[in-house]
Amino acid sequence: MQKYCLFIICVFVSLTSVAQIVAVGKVVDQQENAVHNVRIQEKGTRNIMFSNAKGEYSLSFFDAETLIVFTHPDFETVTLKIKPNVKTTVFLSQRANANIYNLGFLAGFTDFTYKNTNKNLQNMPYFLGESDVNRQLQMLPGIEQGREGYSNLFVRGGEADQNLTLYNGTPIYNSNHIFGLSSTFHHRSIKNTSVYKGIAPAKYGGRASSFIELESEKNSKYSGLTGEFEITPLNAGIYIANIEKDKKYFTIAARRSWVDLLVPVESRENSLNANIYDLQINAGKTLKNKDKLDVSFMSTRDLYFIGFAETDTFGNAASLAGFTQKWSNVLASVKFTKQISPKLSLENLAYYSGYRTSTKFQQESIDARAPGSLTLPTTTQEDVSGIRDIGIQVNAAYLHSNEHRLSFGIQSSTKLFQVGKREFSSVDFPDIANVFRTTGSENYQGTEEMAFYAEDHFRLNENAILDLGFRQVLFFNDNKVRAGFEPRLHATFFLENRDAFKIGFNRHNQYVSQLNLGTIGNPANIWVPATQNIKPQILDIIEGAYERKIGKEFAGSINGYFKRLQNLNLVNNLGDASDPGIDWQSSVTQGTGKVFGAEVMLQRTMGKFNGWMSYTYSKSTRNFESLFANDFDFTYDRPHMFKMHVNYTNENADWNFGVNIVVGSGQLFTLPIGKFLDQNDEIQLQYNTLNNYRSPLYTRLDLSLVRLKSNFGLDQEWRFYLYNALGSRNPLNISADFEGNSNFNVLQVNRAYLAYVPGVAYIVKF
Amino acid sequence: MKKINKNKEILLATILCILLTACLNDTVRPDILQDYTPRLVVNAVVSSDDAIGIRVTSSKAILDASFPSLVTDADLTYRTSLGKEGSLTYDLFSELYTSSDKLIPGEVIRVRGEHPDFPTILSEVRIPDAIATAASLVTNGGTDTSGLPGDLITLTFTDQPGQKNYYKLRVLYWNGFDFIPIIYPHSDPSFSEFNSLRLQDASILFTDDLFDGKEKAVFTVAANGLTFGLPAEQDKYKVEFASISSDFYDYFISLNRAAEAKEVTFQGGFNNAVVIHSNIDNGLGVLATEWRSNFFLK
Repeated sequence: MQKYCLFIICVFVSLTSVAQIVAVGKVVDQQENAVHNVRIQEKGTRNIMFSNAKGEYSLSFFDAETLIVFTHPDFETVTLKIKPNVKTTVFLSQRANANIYNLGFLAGFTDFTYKNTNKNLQNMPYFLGESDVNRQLQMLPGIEQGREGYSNLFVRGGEADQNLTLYNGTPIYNSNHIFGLSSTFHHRSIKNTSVYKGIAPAKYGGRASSFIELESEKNSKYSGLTGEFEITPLNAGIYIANIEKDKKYFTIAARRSWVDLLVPVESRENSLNANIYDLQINAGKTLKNKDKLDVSFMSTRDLYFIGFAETDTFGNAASLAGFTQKWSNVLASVKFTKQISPKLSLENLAYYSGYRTSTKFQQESIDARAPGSLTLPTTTQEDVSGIRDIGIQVNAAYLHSNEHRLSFGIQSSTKLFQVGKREFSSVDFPDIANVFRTTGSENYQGTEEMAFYAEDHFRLNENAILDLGFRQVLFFNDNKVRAGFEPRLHATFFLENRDAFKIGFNRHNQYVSQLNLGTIGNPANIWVPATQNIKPQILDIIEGAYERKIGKEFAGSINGYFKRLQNLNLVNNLGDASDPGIDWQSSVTQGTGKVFGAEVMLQRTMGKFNGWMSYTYSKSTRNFESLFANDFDFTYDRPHMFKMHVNYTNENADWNFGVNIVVGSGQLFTLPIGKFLDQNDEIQLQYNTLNNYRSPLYTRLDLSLVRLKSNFGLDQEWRFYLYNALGSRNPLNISADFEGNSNFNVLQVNRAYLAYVPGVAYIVKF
Repeated sequence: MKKINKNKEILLATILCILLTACLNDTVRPDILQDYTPRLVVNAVVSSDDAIGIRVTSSKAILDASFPSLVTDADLTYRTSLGKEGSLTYDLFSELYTSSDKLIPGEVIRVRGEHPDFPTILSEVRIPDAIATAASLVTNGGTDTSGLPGDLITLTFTDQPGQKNYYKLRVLYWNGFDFIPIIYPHSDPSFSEFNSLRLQDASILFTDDLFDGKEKAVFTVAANGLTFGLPAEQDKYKVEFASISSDFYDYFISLNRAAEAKEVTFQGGFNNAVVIHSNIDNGLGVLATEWRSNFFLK
């Protein structure tokens, strides 16, 4: 062990102590958007490298007097003398009619990510007027919303719990408000969005389907205090940013529902209450030597209460009952980015993420009160579950040479699970002793997930890049260690006209799962670890892609992929799984899944009209041998899906607008196949398999209209939205109906659907 | 202030109206699901010391226009752990397959059913053990929900330790013509909504979860004057108490879940497809068992 440590230290010292002359910095356009794949060459030599996806470059060169040439087909060439070992930001000017990618979502040319800087997406139509990052992502090919109207994400036939959402590097375990209708993020608390739908760098791990990285605003073109106030039918929110350019920043975003405040306090306490809030606070500073310190905090909560009374035979009050459901997230992180040497930088991250959900049922039995007693006999039952994640990461980037850029690191995540605790009490019943009882897991159960990774971004030649990496995961639980090796391989080949062809293979191991207790987005769904009985979920994905610019204004991409999923979890007994007194493992069965698909995307990235359109063909099936003999379609399998987003953005116009069009296969539902009589001679329904009915063609048109106005020196916006403007009958839910059909002759299906849903938001910017 | 409150109400009502009008409904009749194999459906509660009576119907395809019908020509046989065996014959009057054999607590019965149009069914169940029970009445021994003196009815029983037990309880009063069920109060923690299930006939199903292996007393106070005017020697109250099989309990729990899933249209409906509990191999329904004890209180 000592030898091993000595070796590591020696390698580390040798990497950091070799003094070399290096040009480091970032390449940006005039709007300070990172420009990737810029050719950076020491003039007159073959010493060449290319900027990465964040626009960063690090070129080893040997003559400080030599000029450095920055070349990109869409930008004017810049030739500079660069000060060695000092970070230099290089601004490029766009060529006339050049085809650049800085609007809307863009497909990365050197990796498999989709990125967004939120430009112009404020004009996208949003449900109920709530700007929502998840709804932006839902418009991308391969990402589905699941249930109609919901803000969930299902990436390429994967489950909702297979997405890792990182807010400033910290995982969030429930990013839903209102049972999944809205995400927990104030739209201004997010500046940059990246999503990996399968193939991902070795730095990312722990989930099977996707990695979604959300970053808050950390710098600005200009120093100063800015912000905005907004109000929608659901929430009132505020965002304040105080940014000193390139030096420090402080941002705060907060939202709270306001409709509940109109209800009298007594009603809120006794009969009905619902409120939500979220808060994001971020601060950071650039220290000496360009080191950076970032601090992030986030808190969210949903609370719902309903109370009701029961009467006895004679109509007297018999009992009062109340049901409360509550869930909350708390996230906090500190990130320290250290430039050890011109060639080596370290990103040190420590975070905490906690999610807690509770349901409480309390019943006061008036009819059992002792004569003359003022106290009411009361029974209370509260179910609590949650997860706490404490993580420490060291992520390093090292420029070995202009051909080899290495990234490596170690990530530790201590996950504490409370899969279910039930606290029961009955007090003040006449002649009966009080009962206090706790079942389930009283304390959090600890697990440890540790990962080592390394990746070489190897530029084979000017037209080929290989990303060769691996991720080794160790998961400690039940006094056992599980090891998972994950190859992370992909290659990019640049063809004529800088078209790109990419191919990749990844394996992802997932050691945490969320048991779906009936509905995705249900806050009572339980996070559980992999155990000796419940194996970790495993995904293997192979993907190929071709991307090209088309003319001066368009870009297109075609992706094809195949995914194999192992050890998927399905709850086969909802009642037992919800009961903390019963081991959840006995209610879970494991199965497999297969997904394949192709995605075509066309983007217009320039001009006042811009956006994208896409078509996806995919097939996603599941197999759970213990439940059904044959494969069945995944609940959110939608073989055909066409999506289009167009927006008109002109800051000088009075009106801007956006349009979303979605046309595709309908959602799957489970229909009964038969009917029979029960003990009470009432009809009951018989089911054979899951997801046996596909609803008709899904069509949806969403509109947004934005009125820009300036009054009293303040920019103001009125945003008007209409969801499903054509009134298409896309079932939100279906239910059996035999009413009006006394012989129960033929099943009638009642469909509930959302149509003409209006939304409005008023925004004042300062 | 009144005006402000009124404006708030108008604003709130407007917002709710906008949201509610956006959620629409329609009805369709899907023409899928044509291929269906009908099954025999068993519905029976076999009680100790009672003759066996089993009702058999057939299931129908969901798109079938006909109502699930009685099956009168099936071949039903049985065998018990105490060596009793025979055929169950269809009785036109009761519409049940019956046998004069009576089962005792702890006895296991295996029932087999055959019919050329349906898959053969099989089920094996056990009669719950007998337990010590007693019931008592104290006239005007309690206070009813109106604060007036009422008759105190107490049931005492001893739970069997080391196993999960299920019970069914119903209390009725005599109104001069018939016994009428009383809605049982929440007079015990075991009768809380989340610990018990109330059936349509005012029975309450509950478990020994909170009193495993102990003697348990439960009580109710009948409303004042409920049996006023009845002669002293007349039976005034009837207490029906039964120890029931887990299948009996699970079956009604699943019926209740199915009823809730039908009512909840927002997150329920067919997406929460509830499979009704069954202990009939290759068939549907339930062969439930109970050990029953009734008390008449004067």
